Amino acid sequence: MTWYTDPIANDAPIISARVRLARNLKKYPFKQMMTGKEALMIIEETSGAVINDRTAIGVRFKSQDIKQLNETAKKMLIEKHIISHDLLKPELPVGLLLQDDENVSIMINEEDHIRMQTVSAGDNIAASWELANHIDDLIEESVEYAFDKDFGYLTSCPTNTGTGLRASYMIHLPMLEKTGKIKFLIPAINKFGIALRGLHGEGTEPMGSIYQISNQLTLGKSEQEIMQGLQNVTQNIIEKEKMICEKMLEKHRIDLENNVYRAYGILSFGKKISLAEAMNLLSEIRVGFYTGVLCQPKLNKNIYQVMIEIQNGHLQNRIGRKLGEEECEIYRADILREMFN
Amino acid sequence: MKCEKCHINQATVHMQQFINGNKTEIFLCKDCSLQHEMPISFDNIFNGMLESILSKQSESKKNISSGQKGVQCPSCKMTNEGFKSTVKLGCAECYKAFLPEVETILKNIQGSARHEGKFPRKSGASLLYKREVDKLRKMLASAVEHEDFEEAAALRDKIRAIEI
Repeated sequence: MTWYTDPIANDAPIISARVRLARNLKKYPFKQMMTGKEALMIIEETSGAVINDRTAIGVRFKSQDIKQLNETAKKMLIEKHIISHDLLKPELPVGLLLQDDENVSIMINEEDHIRMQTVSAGDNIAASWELANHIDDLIEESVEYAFDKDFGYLTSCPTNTGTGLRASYMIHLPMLEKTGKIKFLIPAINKFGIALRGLHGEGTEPMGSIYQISNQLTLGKSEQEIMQGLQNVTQNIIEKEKMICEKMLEKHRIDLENNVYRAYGILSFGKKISLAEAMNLLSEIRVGFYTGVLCQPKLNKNIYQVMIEIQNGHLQNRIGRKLGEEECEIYRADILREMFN
Repeated sequence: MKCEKCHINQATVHMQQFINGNKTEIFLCKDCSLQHEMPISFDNIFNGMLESILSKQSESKKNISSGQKGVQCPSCKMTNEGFKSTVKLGCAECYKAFLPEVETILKNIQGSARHEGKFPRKSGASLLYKREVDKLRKMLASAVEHEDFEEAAALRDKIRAIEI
């Protein structure tokens, strides 16, 4: 099951757990100094190492030619967090290997030769790590990684050197956001080498109160210690979120109910809606479901999946043509009305 | 009356605070009043964890040394200046070519310059072994220097056992 389709993740603040590993092949220069020919050879070697018949997992991957995809398909990959904007820069040949359920993706020639990521629904970071570790071993059977006994895995940027690991949770924090506490939280957790940022990573505004929390440091600690540190900080944040939620229910229940039901009303009857508004209303619905305030039948869908499906690339794909902003708002409202009625 | 904080919405909440005997009054809208409530302190929620991480971060606060000008990576031809302007390395060999700068940068941004994580399964076994022997040799040299001959003998035996 693809991580964002699992409705189990509707009932807790953590939506998904993600692991990203950065690796480079020893015999080729890094992105900064490589030629187009070398980039093509890296794509070929990495694809060959992953897509093979030796293991059960290898046959589940398909190679996608990013340059051949149309704009809508590229947008959809970004909206599903499968690729980064950087992969679409035209400088050098790039590659993408995608597992059939989309829970594992391998970007080739992004900032490093190999950027693999594994995602699972809910808070199971250990499952994501095990899978990434397994694929890492699988690739290493065919290639030699750039590795140093003191510095660990060598990466293009020193911010990833060592484990090359970025472990992260996608987390829904409506109460901390609404009460303005999140502003104090961000600098506090930075002290632990942990970063909290908006939905689409660095420098983006949070939408629908959804954040990414991840380790910043990759060297000097084992993978397990890094993930444990992330888990500890995240657990603390969730406790604060729940504490505020309980206080709101106790002291301002009618306001909380009012917000949830107004959101339900607009989503059920609106005729035009911007992405930011829809995301914020869906965030209220999520609150309504997990607090039990919303007495309507539960959506048999992961709310985060809805948040993905109402983004412009997905709307264009559904309608089958490029859409203007106003058209997107109308089709978005259509989908949401259908879902909530 | 407008909210005294956002100056947009109508003030519907009247709040009074007593701090050190001084009374302050403020008129707020519903949204801004929520931000005033929920007095949860974020100063001490991560007690205990802070020390362990900060101690690592403060290990090195040196500035990036200017390094030798004109140094070039023999493998990819990245220059010292090129590395410093982009803070991106050109290849695996750059880590050796610009070793002093790399070490300083890693200590500054990562708080450490020593990998404690996974070793590659196939090619890493010999490196792991070499690292272990290097570590024991350093400990042996230190034991000899401190005339701790009992410890030195034990370390020598350990190194022999590994090398066999």
